[in-house]
Amino acid sequence: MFWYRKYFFIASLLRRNHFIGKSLCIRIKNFRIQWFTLAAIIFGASCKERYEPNIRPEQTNYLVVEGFINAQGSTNITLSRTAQLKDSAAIQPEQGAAITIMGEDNSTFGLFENTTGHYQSNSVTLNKNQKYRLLIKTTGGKEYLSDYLSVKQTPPIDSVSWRNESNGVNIYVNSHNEQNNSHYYKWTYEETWQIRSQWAVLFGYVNGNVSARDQNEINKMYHCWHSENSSSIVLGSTAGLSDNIISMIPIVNIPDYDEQLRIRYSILVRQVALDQQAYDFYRIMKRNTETAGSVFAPLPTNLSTNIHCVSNPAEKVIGYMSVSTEESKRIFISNAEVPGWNYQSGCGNVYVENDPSKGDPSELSSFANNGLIPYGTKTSGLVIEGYYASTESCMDCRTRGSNVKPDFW
Amino acid sequence: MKRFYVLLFTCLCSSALVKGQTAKTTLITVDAQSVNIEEFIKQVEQQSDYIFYYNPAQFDSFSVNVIAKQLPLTEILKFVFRNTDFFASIDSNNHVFLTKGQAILIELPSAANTRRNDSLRRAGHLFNNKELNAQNNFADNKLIQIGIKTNVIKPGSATLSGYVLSYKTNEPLHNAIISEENGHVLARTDSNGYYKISLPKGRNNLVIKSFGKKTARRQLMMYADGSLNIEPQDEIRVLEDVLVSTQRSINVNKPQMGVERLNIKAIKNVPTVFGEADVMRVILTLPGVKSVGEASTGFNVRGGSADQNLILFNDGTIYNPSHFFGFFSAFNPELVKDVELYKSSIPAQFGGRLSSVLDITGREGNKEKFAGSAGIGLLTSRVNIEGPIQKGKSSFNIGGRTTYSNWLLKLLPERSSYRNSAASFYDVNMLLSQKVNDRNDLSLTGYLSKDNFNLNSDTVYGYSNNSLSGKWRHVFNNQMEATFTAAYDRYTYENTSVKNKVNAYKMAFDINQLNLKSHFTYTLSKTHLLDFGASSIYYKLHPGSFTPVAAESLVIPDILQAEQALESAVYVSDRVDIGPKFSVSTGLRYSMFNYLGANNVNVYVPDLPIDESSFIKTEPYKDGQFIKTYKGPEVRASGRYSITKSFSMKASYNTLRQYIHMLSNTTSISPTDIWKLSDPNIKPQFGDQVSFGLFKNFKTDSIEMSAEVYYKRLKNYLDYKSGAQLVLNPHIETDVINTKGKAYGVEFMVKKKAGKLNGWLSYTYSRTLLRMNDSSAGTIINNGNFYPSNYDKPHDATLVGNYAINQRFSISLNVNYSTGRPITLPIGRYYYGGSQRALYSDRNAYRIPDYFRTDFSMNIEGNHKVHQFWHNSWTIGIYNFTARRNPYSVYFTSENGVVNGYKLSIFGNAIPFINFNVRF
Repeated sequence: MFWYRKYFFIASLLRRNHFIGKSLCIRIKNFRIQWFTLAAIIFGASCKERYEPNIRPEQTNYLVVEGFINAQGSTNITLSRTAQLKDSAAIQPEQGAAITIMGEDNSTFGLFENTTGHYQSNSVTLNKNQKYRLLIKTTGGKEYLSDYLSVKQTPPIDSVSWRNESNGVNIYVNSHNEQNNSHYYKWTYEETWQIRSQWAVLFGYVNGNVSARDQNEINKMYHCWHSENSSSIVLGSTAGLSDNIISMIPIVNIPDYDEQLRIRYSILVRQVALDQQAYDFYRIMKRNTETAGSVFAPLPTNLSTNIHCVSNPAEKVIGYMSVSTEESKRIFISNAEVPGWNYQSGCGNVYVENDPSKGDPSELSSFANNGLIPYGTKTSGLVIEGYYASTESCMDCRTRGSNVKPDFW
Repeated sequence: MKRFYVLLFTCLCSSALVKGQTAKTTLITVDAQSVNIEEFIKQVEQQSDYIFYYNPAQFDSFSVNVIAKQLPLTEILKFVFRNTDFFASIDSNNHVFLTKGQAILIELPSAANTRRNDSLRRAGHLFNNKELNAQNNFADNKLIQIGIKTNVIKPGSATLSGYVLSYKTNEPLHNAIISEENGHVLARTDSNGYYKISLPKGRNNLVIKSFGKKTARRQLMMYADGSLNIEPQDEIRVLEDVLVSTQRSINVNKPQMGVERLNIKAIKNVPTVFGEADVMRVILTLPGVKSVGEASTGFNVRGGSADQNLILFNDGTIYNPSHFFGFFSAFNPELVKDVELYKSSIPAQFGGRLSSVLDITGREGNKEKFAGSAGIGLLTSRVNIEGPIQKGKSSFNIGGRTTYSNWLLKLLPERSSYRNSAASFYDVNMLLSQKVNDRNDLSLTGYLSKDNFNLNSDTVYGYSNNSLSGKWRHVFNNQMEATFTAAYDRYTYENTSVKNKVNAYKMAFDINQLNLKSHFTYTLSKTHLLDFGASSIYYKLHPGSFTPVAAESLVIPDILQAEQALESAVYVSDRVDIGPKFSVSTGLRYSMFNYLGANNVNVYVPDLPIDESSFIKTEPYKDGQFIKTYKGPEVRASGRYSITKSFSMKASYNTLRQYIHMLSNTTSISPTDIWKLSDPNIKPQFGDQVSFGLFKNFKTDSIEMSAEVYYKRLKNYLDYKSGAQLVLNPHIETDVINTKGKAYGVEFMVKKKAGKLNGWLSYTYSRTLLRMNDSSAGTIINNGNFYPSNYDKPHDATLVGNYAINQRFSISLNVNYSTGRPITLPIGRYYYGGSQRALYSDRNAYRIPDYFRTDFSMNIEGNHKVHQFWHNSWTIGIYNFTARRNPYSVYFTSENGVVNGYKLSIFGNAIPFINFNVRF
C-alpha cells in the first residue's frame, strides 16, 4: 500500500487555504485541484511527474525596458533581461547599454548608467510639440528603437487623501484634467515610515565579551526609516466618465496595525498620463501577473510593445515607452492621527545566564551563533546574573532600513 | 385466421368425397347497394340453403354493389367479385367459401377435367411456388388489399403508411427498411416505427428488414391510400448480418452527411474504463469528435467548443452530460436505444448550437412482458425494469444508476483528511409510452441526474440535470403527421459549506428552460418530403448567488439578477429526389432571440473595448420588456449524387446561430461553469460550414468507407481575458472577448459492420484556429494572428475493434492517439514595476505531450438457452493497457525560489475492471 502516500504528497502540495467571499476564483481553482486529487485516490493510478517543456532558448532572453521619457525632469530607464524559470536570481540587469532620447527635431539627450542596469538622464525639458523616441544600443551590438511618441501633459495631483477603514488605512489619489487630453493614468509611489527597534541595545558582544555601547551607537540602532517602492501596477481611467475627474482611486492599503503607522508614515505618489496603448500594456501586465495570481490561471494575453529591435523586428521586447511629464505629491500620517493603532512587533527575547557555573557556558556564545543581540541585564546588586537578548531584526533597525533621516522628514 | 385454416384443411380433406356444384340451382334475388358482405350474405342465406364461410377481416373494407333478380348465385358472385381478387367456391353441400387471393379447391383436380368454377377465378399471376415454400409464413404470402377495392384500378400512386412493430413485444422498430423486391429502398421507419411510402396503384411486393427480425414480405394490392402495420417476427439466431441490413446503404444513399448513427449494441462493444457501456466515450471515438482529455466532460465536434453541442435525450436538453467530471456518462445504457450525432448536415428542426446535435433516443419499454436487467461493477451499479402497463398499448421503462465509491474512501488511513470525503452520483430515467390508437401516440420521458461531492469534508459540491418531456405524435392522414413536444429542462449547481457556521454559505447557479415544439412531416409526392415546424424556448437563468445558510452566518448575500429570454424559430425543409441519382435536402430556419427584462443592463462607451474603464451607466428595464433582439436566417442544404449504387458524392452547407454560451476558463465542462444568454453586450455566435464527402460501400454494404472535408467559420466565439472572473461577476462582458474562428479538416473512416470482426478505424486531420485582431473590441491576442484553440489537436486516430471468437466469447480493443492539446506556458520571468512577473508564451504556443491509450476487454456470455429466467454476462478488461502516463494537466509551482513544471496523469497505470450483467 504505497500508492496513497503519493497522494498525500499531491494533496499537501496542491491544497490551499479557503477564503470565503474574498476570492472565489481561488476557491474554484482549489476545487478543481481537490477533485483531481480525489479522483487520484479513487482511481488509484494517477501520478505526478516532472515536466520540462522544451522551450526554445531564444524565448528566454528578451530585453525588458522599464520607465518613461520624462518631458520635464530626469528620465529613469531600467534595462534587464527575462530569465529562465529555473533561474533563481531576482533580476538580470542589462549593463553597459547606451540610451538616447531622440527628438523629431534631431535633438538628443543621453542617459548614463547610474547603478547596474539603471540609466538616468540629466534634468531636461522637452518641447511638448515635438515627438520623441528612445534608442537603446546594447553591448551585444543590437539596437532597439521605440516609436515616435508625442508628449503627454500630466495634470497635477489635486490631493492624496486617506481613510481609516475596516481593512486598515487606505490611501487615495484625486486629480482632474481640465484640458481633457488624457483619460488614462498610472501611479507609482514610494512609501517611507519610521521604524524603531523593540528595545534600546545597551550592550554589544564582541569577541566573546559583553560590553556597554555608547549613546550615539545606541541611537543609531534604535531610530531608522524604511522605504519601499510600489510593487504593483496602479492604473486609472476616466474614459467612461463624462468629466475627466480622478476621484478617490485607491493607491495602497496599510493593513490594520501594521508597522507603517507605528510612528509616522509618508507616501510620495507620482502620477503620469498615458495614451490608451500604454494603458493597455500595463493593464495586461497587471492582469497576467497580479490578478491571476497563479500559474494555473488560464490564457494569459501576450504583451504588445512599441519598442522594436532594429535588426530583428520580430524579436520580443518587454516594455512600452511613453513620453509625459510627471506630477507628484507627498503626505504624512502620524500615529496620533489613527487612534488605537496598536502595533505588535512579535519580537520576543531570550534570557542567557551570565554565570557559567549555573548553566552551560556555551549559552553565552549563542549570542554570536544565533545572531542574537544582548540588550539588557538581570542584575542582583552589582552582579549581572544574565542578559536579555533578541534577534538582530528586532534590535538593530539598520537591518530593516536606514538610520539616515530622509530630507523630507 | 385460424378459422380459415381449419376450413381450408377440412375442405381439402373432404373434397374427394363431395361432388362439385349441384345441378339444381336456386335462383336468388338481392338488392344490395353499397352494403357490406354480411348484409349481402344475410339476404342470400334467407332465400336459400347456402351457407357461407369466410373470414370477415378480409372483407371489412369490401362493399357489395349488386341488384339481381332471379339469378343463380354463381352469376351473382361472379358479378360481385369481378375485377377483385376474391373468390367464391361452392361445394355440393351448398357451402359457399369466400376467399381472398386464391380460390378453394372443392375437389382434387383430375388430369383431364377440373371442375372448379373457373369463371369465378380471376386470371393472373399469384406467386411462384418456390417463393411460397421458402417463406412459409402466412402473412408473407397473403395478398393484402389497401384501400376500398375497386373493379378498375386507376393509374397513379397511393400512399401507404403504418408502423413496423415487433411481433412479440409490439415495440416499434426504428430504422426498419422497406424496399421493393429488387432492393430499391422506399422508406425507413422513424423512431416510432412509423413509415410512409408512395406506391404505384396495383400490385406491389414489399420487403421489410429490421435488425434482429426475420425479413418480412408483404404483397399488396393498392387501390387507394391506406395503412398497414407490419409485425416482423424475431430472428432467433441474431446474426450480425441483420445489423448491416438495418442501416444498409444509409450512408451512401441519404443526402445528409456528417451524420453518425450508433445503436446501443455497437456502443456496448466498446471497452470503457469501468466496464459500463458509455455513450459519451463511444461518441469520442468517432471521426471529428475530440475531448480535451480524460476526465473531462463534454466533447468538441469539428473544432467547436463543448458548449456548441446540443445534447438531447428524448427532446430534453441535457446541459452536463457526465457524472464525476466525465468518468461516467450521465446516460444509463439500458435506457438508450440509439444515438445520432449530426456534425454537418444538421436538420432544420434543430438549432441553437453551432457545432453538433447529439440526439439520444430512449428505449421504450416492452409492451408485452415484464423484463429487466442489472449490472454490477466495482464503482457503479445499474438496474432497469420495463414492461407493459396495458398490454400491447402502453409500457414503462425505468432505470437507475448509482455509485458506491465511498467504500474506497473509507479504506484510506485515518491520517488522511480525505477519509471524510464523499462522492456520489445517481441518475433515474423513466420512459412511458402509450399508443392511443393508430393515429396517436403519447410518450413521457423523465430524466434526473445528480452529483454530489464532499471533498475534504468542508464544501459540498453538487450539480443536477432534470428534464421532463412529453410528446404527442399525431397522424393526420397518410401524407401528413405531426409531433408536438413540450419539455422542461433544468440544470443547476450548488456548492455549500456549513462546517464553519460563521461563514457558512451556499453558492448556486441554475438555468431553466421551457421548450415547445411542433414538427410536421408532409409527403408531397414520391419525390418531395416536406418537414416544417416551429419551436420556442423560454429561458430563465439565475447567473449566481452567494448566500448564508445558517442563522449565525455572517456571509453577505450576493445575488446576481436573473436573466430571461425567448428563443424562437420557424423552419421548413424539403427533401427532393431529382431522378434516381440525385437527391437534395434543403432547409431554411429563421431564428429569433429576445433578451427580456426585468434586468439592469450595463452600458459601455461605443467603439471602445468593453471594460471597467469604458463603463457609462446601468440601464434598468421593466419586467417582460424586450431589451435586445437578435434574429436571422439559417440555411441547411445538402445534396447527394450517386455515381454507382454503392458510391456517392455529397456536399452540404449549413449556417447556425447560438444565443447561449457557456462561460468556462477551463477547457471542459465543470460544475462551476455558468451559462450566459446573449445580451446587448454579448453577441450571439454565428457559424457556417461547407463540407464535401465521398461514400463508398463494399461487400454488400458490410464495409463502409467515407472521406469528408470541411471548412467552418465562427464569429463572435467567446474567449476569455486573462484572469477572467466568471463566477458571481455582475459585468461578465468585461472579462470576455469576441474572437473569430476557423476550423478545417479531413476525416477518414472505414467501418466494418458485419462479421466476426467488426469495428471502425478513423483518422482525422483538423485544425481549429481563433483570431482576435480588433483592438476596438478588446485586447489583441498573439499580435492579431490566428492561434490554436484549446482543443486544437491536429492528428487524431481511433481504432475500435470487436472480434467474436464464438457466440459466447468476444474481445474488444480500443486504441486512441491524438496530438497533445495546446497550452500557454510560462516560459520565463522578469522583474518589472517592483515585482517578479511571469513571462508567458504566445497563447497556446505549446502543446502537452501526445495522447495514446489502448483498452482491452472481454465479454463472456452465459449460456444461450432461450428459456431461462435470466441471462448473465461478464465484462473483464484493462483500461490503458500500455500504462502510458498521458498528461491530464500541466502546472508550475515555485519551489525554493525556482519554478518547476509538473504534469499530472489521471491514469498512470493500467486499470483492470470487471462488470457483471444480468438480463431477466
